[in-house]
Amino acid sequence: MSSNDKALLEVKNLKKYFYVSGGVLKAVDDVSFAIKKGQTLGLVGESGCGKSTTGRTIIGLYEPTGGEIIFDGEKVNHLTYDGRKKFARRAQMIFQDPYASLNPRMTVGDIIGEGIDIHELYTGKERMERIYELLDMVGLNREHANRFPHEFSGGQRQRIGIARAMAIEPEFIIADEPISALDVSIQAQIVNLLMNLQQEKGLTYLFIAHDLSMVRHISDNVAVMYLGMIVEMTNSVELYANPLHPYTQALLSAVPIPDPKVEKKRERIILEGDVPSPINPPSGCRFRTRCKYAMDICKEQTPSLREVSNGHFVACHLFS
Amino acid sequence: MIELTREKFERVGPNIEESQAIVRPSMTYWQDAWRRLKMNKVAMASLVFLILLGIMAIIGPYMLPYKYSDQNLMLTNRPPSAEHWFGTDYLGRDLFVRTWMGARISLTIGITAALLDGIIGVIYGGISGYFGGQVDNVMMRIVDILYGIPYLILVILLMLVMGPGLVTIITAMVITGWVGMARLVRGQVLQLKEQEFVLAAKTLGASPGRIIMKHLIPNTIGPIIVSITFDVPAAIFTEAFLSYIGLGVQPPLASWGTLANDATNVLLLYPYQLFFPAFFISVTMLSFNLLGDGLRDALDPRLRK
Amino acid sequence: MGKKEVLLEVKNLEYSFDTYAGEVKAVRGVSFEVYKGEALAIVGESGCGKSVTMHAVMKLNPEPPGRLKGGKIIFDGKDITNYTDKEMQTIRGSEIGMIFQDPMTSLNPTMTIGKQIAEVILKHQDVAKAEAMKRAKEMLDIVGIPNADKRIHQYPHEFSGGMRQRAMIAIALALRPKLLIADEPTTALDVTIQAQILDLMKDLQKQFNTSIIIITHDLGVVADIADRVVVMYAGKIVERGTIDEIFYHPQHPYTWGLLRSVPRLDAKKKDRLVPIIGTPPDLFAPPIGCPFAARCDYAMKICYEAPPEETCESDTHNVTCWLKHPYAPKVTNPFEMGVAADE
Repeated sequence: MSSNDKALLEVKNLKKYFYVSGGVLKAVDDVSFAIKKGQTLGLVGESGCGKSTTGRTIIGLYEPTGGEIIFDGEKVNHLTYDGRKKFARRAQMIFQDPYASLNPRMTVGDIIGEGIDIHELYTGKERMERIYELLDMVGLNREHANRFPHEFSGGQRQRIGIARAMAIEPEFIIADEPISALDVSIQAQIVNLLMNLQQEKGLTYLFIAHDLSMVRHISDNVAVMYLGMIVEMTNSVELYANPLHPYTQALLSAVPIPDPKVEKKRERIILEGDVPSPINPPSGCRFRTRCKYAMDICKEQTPSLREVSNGHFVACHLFS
Repeated sequence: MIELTREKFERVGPNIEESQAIVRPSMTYWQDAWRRLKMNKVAMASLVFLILLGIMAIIGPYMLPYKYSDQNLMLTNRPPSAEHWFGTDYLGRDLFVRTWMGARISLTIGITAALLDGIIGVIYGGISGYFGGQVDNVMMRIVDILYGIPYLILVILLMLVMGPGLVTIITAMVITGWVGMARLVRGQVLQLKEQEFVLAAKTLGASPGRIIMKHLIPNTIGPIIVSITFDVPAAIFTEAFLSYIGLGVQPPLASWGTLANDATNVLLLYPYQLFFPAFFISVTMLSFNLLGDGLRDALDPRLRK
Repeated sequence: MGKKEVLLEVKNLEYSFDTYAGEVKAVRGVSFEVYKGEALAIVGESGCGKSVTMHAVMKLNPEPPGRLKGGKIIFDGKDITNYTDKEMQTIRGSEIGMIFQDPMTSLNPTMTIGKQIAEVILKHQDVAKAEAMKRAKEMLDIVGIPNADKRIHQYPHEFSGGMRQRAMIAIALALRPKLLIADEPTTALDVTIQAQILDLMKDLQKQFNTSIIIITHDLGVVADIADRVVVMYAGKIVERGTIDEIFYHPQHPYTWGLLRSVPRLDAKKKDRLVPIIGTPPDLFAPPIGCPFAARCDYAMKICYEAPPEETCESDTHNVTCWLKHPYAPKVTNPFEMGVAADE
């Protein structure tokens, strides 16, 4: 897809632990991946798997417990305030909750203009022009600039959030479940908008999602997370055609297909039980408590993420 | 009924502008809160009463040709009459003028103390809540200590050092009074700072000052206003109480508390003298409390529809 | 299906909310029926009035601002349109069970799960407390909560999201109601848990022969569970029919849009998604014509001027669209020629 083979973002052995009353919550435990310029990595997993924590740690909202985050050749973890401000111009984030992610006391114009104000990019008339331009870009009207967030629908609010992130012309965007709170029909609008922006501006995305359906359309590569670890990672064609990890298979099988005949015939893999608590997770392979192929070794050894075929990584003892 | 002709069935396609347009009238937070407050009859009545009270506190002392300190020993303890609308006290001072002079003092103390509490509490609580962790720990322990100091002892100590008077009373109230506001604001800020719009501002590179001023305080302003509204009557009552036991403003200055104190001395002979200060203290407190309740309902974003 | 008996009939329901800005006409003349033992799905985007409709049936909307403006609701032969809250209480829980999107807010956090199930039983039936607790335990077994003996003594916060939804289902079905209304029951859950809950609902429907009304915006869920589908848009029904009619012979452009916007994991290659453009109208000032016109690729002049009438495609299939009018130009139905094969 991209001629530039250099990774824009490289995450090496990232760890983020939270010290809570019940013990240590290993939200992200030794996660590594890289995203090439102009590409999209989809990061998928269920609630509590650490996908959002990964995103927030990369962007600097959390300090990593261990590991390295390298953006365009430079280490960006443990930045000073000025360093973070500089990094902010290049990397931005889109948030999940279209209701909580916009300040209810600010007009849409001021919300979108916030980045412009912070980095003192434009003032006065130019600033307003830029805000109008951004509203156009995400498919909203100019009149919307004077309105307040509560006057908009969920999809429109998410567009405002995208315009806010785009205002300072970043190269890299982390989209933290930008569509999971939206109706299916609106989800497609947002995914398409993000894809258009990517093509126009050559953006690089980390797209976080809780199921595998929409991710497929926007991602070049997909990584599946379970309890703080990546269990499978490959390109988005291979993952859907040939899922290897039992958890990925279950995730794929769980998404209902909008076709009653197919749906009635289909044999679903239904996972037993719930995701265990990330505080004191199961020993060895963390998925073993819900895995029908679990073996003795799964209890004793944590499988490492290894390449089983060209560019297809799996962390599972079935493939070692 | 529209006539159905073939040309009506010409394909014109969608109209995205129309589908995106917002048809509802725009309403800011304050407009909406004011609309809601207006619907609350009791709160509006309280507000009207408080405004009238404020006006009277300004013009009341000039409505009769006496000064609040003018004594007339020929006319002591007179009942209300055409010359002296509320009567006179044991030194022959006009009670109407003194009552409104008292309103001036009481309201000044109440509002100043509540505002100062508010400002200090908001800044302190905002910083403590925003930075959290160790900073929060230390700052909140200081609050706990202040909270533990017996209020009356502090007042008496201050009286000794600064001498009795308006400034002393206000200082005494503010030294301990702001901690309530600080706790309130800290709690709100702790909740708000995890909200995604605050995270978004951080991601954009906003400084802590900007986040506190643009995002956290504006979203806490509702509870802050409500809390200040409740603080005013509390301060008025405290002042009245201190004045009543002789620790308040000194004669010939009058506040509702000293008026009530003077009146109790002659209670058995002229019980009506107690009526005016007591009536105004209670109705003012009641009004502020009812208005506070109304504001709480009006400013609560959860009720917003 | 055999012979069909109507369990719930909603006739021309109109429901509004009075807000500061004026009247919001949330439901504008909705009619449908639910047969015994079937699963009916009400589908539409948020704000289309699907939840308001069912809450109006159950009298769960806050009134005011809510207000029933017109229509009839007939449940199991009884006209419950003007039932008071007290009369509704005899029906809610015993004859109609309900589960909501967020189980945490619909469970009482200060009461054990067992007590909450038992309470429903005790409220409607004259049984001993111990008997009610025994049945509560049975219900937990039925909805697949392991260690029911232990679990009935636990509080909601000790349950995970999926377990809470199971507990909600246990409460809703404790008295074997004739109708179960599920309002977005899986939206707040993870996909693997969603699959579990849908399976459970299907099982229980067979086991108890309960009718189900499922409210959802996800056509995947519909395909999985429903027998018949009602598609709502802007407070009106735009299309209704059996599941096969809606999925394989949809007639309304809005239904086409909904079907096309759902990504299919079983497709061989990844296509670009086809969203429905624009935003649904604000029902504070609904369009005078067809509410979908402004977002519809096939919109004609008439669509902006007058609302279309409902027409019959078959005994079970109704559409409300001007394209069905004899004057309308012929458009190729993108679904008659195989699912989205033209893309």
